[in-house]
Amino acid sequence: MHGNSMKTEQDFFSTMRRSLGLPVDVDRTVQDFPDLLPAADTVSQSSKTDGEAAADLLDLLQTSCAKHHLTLHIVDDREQAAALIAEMVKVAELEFHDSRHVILHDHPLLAGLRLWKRLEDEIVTIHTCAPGDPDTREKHEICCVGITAPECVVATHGTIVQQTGDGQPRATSLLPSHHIAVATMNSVVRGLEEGFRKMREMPGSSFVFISGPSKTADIEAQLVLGAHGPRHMDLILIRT
Amino acid sequence: MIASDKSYRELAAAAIQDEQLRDNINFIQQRIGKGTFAFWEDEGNRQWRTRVKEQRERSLEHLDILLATLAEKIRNRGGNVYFAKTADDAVAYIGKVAREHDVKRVVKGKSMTSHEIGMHPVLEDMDTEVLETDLGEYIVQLAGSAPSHIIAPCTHMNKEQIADLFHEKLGMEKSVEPEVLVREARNVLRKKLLSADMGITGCNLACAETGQICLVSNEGNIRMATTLPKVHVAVMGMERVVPTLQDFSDTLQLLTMAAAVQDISTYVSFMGGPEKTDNGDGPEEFHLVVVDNGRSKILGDGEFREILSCIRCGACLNACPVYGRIGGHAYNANYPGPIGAVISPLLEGINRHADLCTGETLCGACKDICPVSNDIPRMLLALRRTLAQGSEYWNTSRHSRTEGYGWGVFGYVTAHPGLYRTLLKIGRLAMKPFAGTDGWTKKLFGPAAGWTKHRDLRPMARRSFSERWKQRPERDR
Amino acid sequence: MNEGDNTSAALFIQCLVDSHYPVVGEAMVRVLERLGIRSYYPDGQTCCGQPAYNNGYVDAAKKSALHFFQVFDGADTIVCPSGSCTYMVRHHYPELFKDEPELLVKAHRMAAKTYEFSEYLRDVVKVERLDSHLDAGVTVHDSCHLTRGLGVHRQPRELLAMVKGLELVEMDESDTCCGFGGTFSVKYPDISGALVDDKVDHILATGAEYVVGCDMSCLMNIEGRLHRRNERVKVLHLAQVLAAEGGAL
Repeated sequence: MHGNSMKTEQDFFSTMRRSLGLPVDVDRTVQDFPDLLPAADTVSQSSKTDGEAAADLLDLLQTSCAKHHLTLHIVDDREQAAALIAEMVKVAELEFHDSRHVILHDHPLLAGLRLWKRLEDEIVTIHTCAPGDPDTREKHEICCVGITAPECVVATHGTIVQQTGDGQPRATSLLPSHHIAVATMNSVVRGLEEGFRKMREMPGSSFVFISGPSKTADIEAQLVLGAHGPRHMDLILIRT
Repeated sequence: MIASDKSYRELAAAAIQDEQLRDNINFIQQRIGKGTFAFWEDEGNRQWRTRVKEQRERSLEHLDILLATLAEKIRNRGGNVYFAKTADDAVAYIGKVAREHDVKRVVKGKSMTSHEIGMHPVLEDMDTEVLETDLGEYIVQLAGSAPSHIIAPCTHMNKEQIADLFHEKLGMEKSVEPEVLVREARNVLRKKLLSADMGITGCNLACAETGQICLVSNEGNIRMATTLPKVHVAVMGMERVVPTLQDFSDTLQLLTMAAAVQDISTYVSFMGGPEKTDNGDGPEEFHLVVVDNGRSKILGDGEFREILSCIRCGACLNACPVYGRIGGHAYNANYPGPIGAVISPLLEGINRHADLCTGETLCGACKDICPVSNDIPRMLLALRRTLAQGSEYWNTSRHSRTEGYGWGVFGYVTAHPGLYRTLLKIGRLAMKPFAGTDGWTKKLFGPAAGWTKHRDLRPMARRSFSERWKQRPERDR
Repeated sequence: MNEGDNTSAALFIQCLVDSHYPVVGEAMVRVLERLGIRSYYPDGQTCCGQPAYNNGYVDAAKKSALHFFQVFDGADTIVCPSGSCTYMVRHHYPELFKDEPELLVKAHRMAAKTYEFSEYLRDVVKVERLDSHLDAGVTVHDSCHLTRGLGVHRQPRELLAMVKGLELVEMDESDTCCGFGGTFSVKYPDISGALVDDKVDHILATGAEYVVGCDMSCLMNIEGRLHRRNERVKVLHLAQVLAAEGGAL
């Protein structure tokens, strides 16, 4: 474990306290200031989406996805989702490797799509992330498509909230040229605050909010899709 | 940061001649600057800004508690936190971590703080390759130059220049198409990112409540730099922490809106420690280096503490007419633009950067656009007072005794109307020999010579208002 | 703030107007007279001290301020043809004396009764119509202290709208700094020159004959550049436009 020696850390904090006009050697703690950080039980929980709000949220989501060059597909059921993904995989750009490889997060929603069945007649290798797999990095480097299942989808921003961890590597939505996110309708929330609240509810501390494919406008302010992350991103929303 | 030995005036004059620079910055100011101003026209957004400012002030008042809480949470997850009092401390720590892991290649997310502490030369001395991965920073690094804008580092270059650069340095067939140039950089940098031993990033904001840091990008390079290498070091200015997750959300959204008129960046990554899985995805070691390097001194001065509210969005650069014409390099400091005009003197020396304190018009556009309502003109005036009087706290000597005497005389004269009037009359006579046939003066000498460099000087009136008033008929007085 | 007197006004004639543009002061007096407001010019006024203040020399600025207090002590309402000087009195005088309670009271009192000319006419006198007449095309420069400092943007335009025969063409970047900045204009001539050049380009693009404003410091800067570029556009203070009768100045 790295860090300061006791002395250098105390020195750092003493200097700060002096600047704040406080007694230099007295540690202030968060307990002294109950209003500064909320107590756990006072934090509002994220709300559930009801059916009525759904249509309005979808409109909002359509608009925000378009703004971020995120292609949104709304399908009726898992069958349609699987069919759609299979089509996408068949024509995916082979940017970094000659043969077709796809990698999925280890998630019941994705497993339930039975993609291996859809693609059994194609020359495609389907990998599912497994905790402790030493070949995780190599697999991601050669995949042309990465598929994840986000925790929730934020309608106002066209943003997916993606937890990462065991069986859900960060690289899946990062290294392949094409990222497909699959979610169900009831994971759509209205605003970003709700996305943050969802994040707080989940275990782990590593998350990413993703709003479309990677992009840059550093060269003469012209927008180019596909900087260092995926060049294409699709979001498939399943109604039931 | 490579310091130039030219003065602010010299660098500004050179930049003013650069049409490309002017067009590029103008484009950003029109597109993004105006977009941000439009955002503040909504009353709801102005109230949002006020809330965030209050939170920033509250955070600064409780900075010790927030940093302690943040550190505890990160350490509980197996992350490392190092509190660096000076730039040297920070660099020494990072160097030690790099040595321990026998790091040969470092990939960087954009971090102005890492430039501030002078990290690059030290790592390079250790035979470690340090590679910028943000496209703009990468281009600037290839060109051997320095970033000129906080958010758009290579805004001073056009696509022809970038195409030439890529052709020369990467052996790429020359193309001026941004798509092609980006593709080339994407491929080159991917290889480097995949083989890097250590990722070094900044930190946009940290959240005390959850013990996380947050990094935003549109390109994905920061995600790569924090996912692929075994070690991740995040360098953070000590003031960049907010109390709660709600504050985190509020402030981050304002940051991206003010920086790029985006409701959200493509990637917003949250992390608070090493990745705990065994699949080699995500760093095994996480280090947060919290940097003071003069910030606690700013914290301790009531005039300047406000500037620590800054969230480094760059909006002030997109509003400033002076920056618009002189560009970032003229500031000759790690931080350019209006924010740089305040923070660079405070961090790097007020006497050293006297021109940054006085070299703007105080027009107030920066204050208007700032998402945390920083009153930069007020602080520039405070810096000017510091230069005028000298300051022990700031280790600043009086800028010019002569100037002081001059203004002393000014004050005296304005309090003595008879003397004032006499001097005006003398002035009126003294100007006559310099005037042309129409009474206008084309060339002045002495301290006011700057006026006539680009302007003519109109003659003083034959009779001042005061004289005319006195000569009015009795009944009209 | 709008409790000022609309029957008599003490004139706070900016030092620059006094020495270089007395016609502006006279125009202001004429306009006030036509509105039935008796104006008078307290003797002994010099300069509000802003140049010293903006350069960081507070002791000098205080001397100017204390003298100002003396000169305008008895006035009920003070009217000034300069946004920046009004800003100095309203915002910086209280700052100058923030640690001196008695003088701070005086400063606040001064601040409360000092108005910029266009805000005085619209917000205090509540002028609704004028019998001004000027046949000309004009454009407006919004100076920094007036617009962002005092929040005065609409009043000059409302008054210009009352002038018969006037055609107002707005310029691009009307509220972008003209590059004057006080001593900045002589200390950093190239930067100042670049900014005023941009401002002149925007003015010329409107095709207007006159550029109108409420700050002769900005207008002097602009005028100086126009003259150097041999352009025919002239600068006018708002008061001069409002004082015009019969179609001409």
